[in-house]
Amino acid sequence: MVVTFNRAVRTLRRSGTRDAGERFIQLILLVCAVSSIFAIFLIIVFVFSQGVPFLAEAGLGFLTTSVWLPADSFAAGTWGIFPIILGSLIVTLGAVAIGAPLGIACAVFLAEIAPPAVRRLLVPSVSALAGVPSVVYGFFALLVIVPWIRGQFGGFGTSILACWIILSVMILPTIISVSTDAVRAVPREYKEGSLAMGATRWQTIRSVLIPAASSGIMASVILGMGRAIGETMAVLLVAGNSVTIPGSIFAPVSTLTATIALEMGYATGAHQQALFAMGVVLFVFILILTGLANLASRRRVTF
Amino acid sequence: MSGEIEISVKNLNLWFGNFQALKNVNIDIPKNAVTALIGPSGCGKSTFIKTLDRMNDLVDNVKFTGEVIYKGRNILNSDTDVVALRKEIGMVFQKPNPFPKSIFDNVAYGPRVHGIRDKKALNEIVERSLKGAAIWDEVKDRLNESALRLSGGQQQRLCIARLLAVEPDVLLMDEPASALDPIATSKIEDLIYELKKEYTIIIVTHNMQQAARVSSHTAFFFLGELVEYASTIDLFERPREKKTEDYVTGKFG
Amino acid sequence: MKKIFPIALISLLVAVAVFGAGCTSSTSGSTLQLAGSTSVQPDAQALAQAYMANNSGVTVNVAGGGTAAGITAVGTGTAQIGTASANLTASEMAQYPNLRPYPICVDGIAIIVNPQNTAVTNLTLTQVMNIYTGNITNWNQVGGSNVKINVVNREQGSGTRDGIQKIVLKGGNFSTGGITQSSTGAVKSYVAGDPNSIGYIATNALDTSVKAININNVAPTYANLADGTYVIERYLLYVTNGPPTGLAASFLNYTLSSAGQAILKAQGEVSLNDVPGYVPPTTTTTTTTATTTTTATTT
Repeated sequence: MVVTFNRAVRTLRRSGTRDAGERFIQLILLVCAVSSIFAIFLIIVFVFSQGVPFLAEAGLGFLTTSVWLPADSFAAGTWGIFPIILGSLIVTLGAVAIGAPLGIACAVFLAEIAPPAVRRLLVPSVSALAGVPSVVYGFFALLVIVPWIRGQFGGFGTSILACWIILSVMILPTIISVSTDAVRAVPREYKEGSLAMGATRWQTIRSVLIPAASSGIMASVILGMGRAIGETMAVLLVAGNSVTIPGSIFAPVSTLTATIALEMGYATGAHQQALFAMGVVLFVFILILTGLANLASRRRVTF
Repeated sequence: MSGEIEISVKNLNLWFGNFQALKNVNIDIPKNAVTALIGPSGCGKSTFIKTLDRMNDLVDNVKFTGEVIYKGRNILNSDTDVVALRKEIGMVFQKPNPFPKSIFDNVAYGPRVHGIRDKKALNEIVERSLKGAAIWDEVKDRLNESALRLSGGQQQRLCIARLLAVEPDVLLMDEPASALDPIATSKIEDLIYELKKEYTIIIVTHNMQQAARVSSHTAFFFLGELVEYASTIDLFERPREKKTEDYVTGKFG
Repeated sequence: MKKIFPIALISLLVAVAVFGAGCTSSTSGSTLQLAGSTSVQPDAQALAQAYMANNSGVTVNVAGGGTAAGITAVGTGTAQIGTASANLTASEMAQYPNLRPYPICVDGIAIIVNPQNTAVTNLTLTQVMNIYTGNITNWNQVGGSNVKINVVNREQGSGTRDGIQKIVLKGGNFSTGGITQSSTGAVKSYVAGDPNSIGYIATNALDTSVKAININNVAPTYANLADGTYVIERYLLYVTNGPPTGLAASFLNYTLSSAGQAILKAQGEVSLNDVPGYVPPTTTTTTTTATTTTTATTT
């Protein structure tokens, strides 16, 4: 009896220390989680506290008018960011329109068609693409793509088209990796069931695999879109940053992120607040995108 | 062996890389009958039926020798139109695998990929196939519901209906009832009994009672070899080989 | 998504560490912090190196950020000296009324074109103005070939842009037709690549990749900048909050000394000693009168 009791106590003690260890780990994880939420919260509060008063004062005209002349040494400011909002939307949507089909096709190829040797070569290449700093993309585009566009189509070369090309490449890794996972997560049985009925490989991909992976693919596209709208450095270098409503895809354009990055270093007073207000606008855009992404990935897999 | 022969297999050998999964298999499959394949796990019976519709092609590093004569041609030839072959020799899998589509779209999938677009024709095919798979009465009022909301047994019969819609000649069934409860299993077995009037059926099963109930012929596989092939009654009651006897009497497996 | 948590934590820690480090270094007595114009930055760095070599134990940090950032830094006490390539604005003076600007040298702004543009070697100040306001859009209007002029600007708030706006545009607004590049180097490399472009950079950044245009038939040479015949030029400034004291005063005096001016000259700037009739201000008075207008102040 005594021996059994002692053993039980020992077991309890051991599990007691184990529990303490568990609790400690849990505490650390909790602190990590809370601090990241706290950081996000701080950023939101700061951006909104700086930007919202300006938005309230400048009113809807801030979003809908087209003359952007921040307060400088010479005159009071004129605030209209419509061309910048438009620029961000055109650049983002265009980049996604080019990048998404490419990325999805590449993902299907990687997940379904590529022989293992090719896959072993391609997967690290895609990861490497994701690791290239955006300023390097921008510089490459400035030295290669911009002169090419200038030579082919005239104008400045720094243009919507240059942004589309470089951004569509930059969002590829996101779209490819998330979509590849989505396609590979489709149960093997679906594919076998389709092939066993005499469907061709392409019919199987088109009618079964892609629809079954559609929520993941949609999420990848929206993540890519988030990356495109948030990208700053590469766009700054190749956009031309002209605050006008662009007349063609060869015209220079400015985006929310690039304008903030370009002017924040100098901005004081109302100009600075206006840039924060642009940050609020950008934040709302990204919030909408994240919401859509969550919606897409939660959607039941029926089609 | 009496009756017409649907598929004739001669000297079939198959390797996955360096592993030989099938060793010199010779077997004649009778037309419009149920042939059961039995044997312990890993004996090669699933591999064998996947050779008949070339689904093994999906596996990397597979190679094979020998002949599988179907409609006068060796389907193992590299010039075989695999897609057309699979339309004639269809397969039902161990785990029911309806697509995440509606019941209607599941059955209409095959006809659609084979080019039938006409709504009326599709309606007819879907109804006929669902009736053929004895599931029409259970689903006729909810054809637009997701197939994933059906029970396991219903899903498996839906998969059979899906297969019937492409009008195959041969049905390969890879342990079609192993994931199902006894009631669903008996429905599948009743269905197989009905289907053999029009189709040649080859069924892989772990369940010897099932083999005895549904099949006219039974083949016993062991370690990649076809040990014994006979009428079901003979194989279970008068096995020629010692190994077969040990297996059917439950001494191993 | 889960990967974000540790990353956020680490960035928070890094931010705290950097912030903490920043605090300690700025309170240390033997450290002088400069911040501001990127045009002044290389000059100030050269001066800081020489100054540190002569005064062991002293650290002079030179940060960039732009003229406006420099003014804010000195106004809020983050830096002891702000560097500026444009005069203080009314709103800046209103926000920090004790700011005092001290000219340290003269810096020219060159109007640059692509070397392939051989037809155009001279422009009048009015022509440059009309190009930048959008009234002249084709090179053939100023003696060049019949192609559109690709106008390259600097970003809002750049001291160089302010200089052009003040001296060339007389305070008028730039046309929105051009593109904006974010640094002197970016303007130079764009103009070096586009035969139809025009841009502007500080004269000390000139090299053979671009061609400097004569303004009113005057080239942006050292002598022409010194005697003021090349008109697109401005003083580069140190700005302090109140009269400079301690290290800041010492560094300002070193900058204005003949040794300091020699370093600036080596950097491609015009020494104040070479400007005819220039009278250095005494360190207790300001050269610019603070205006009290509040038209452009913050709201």
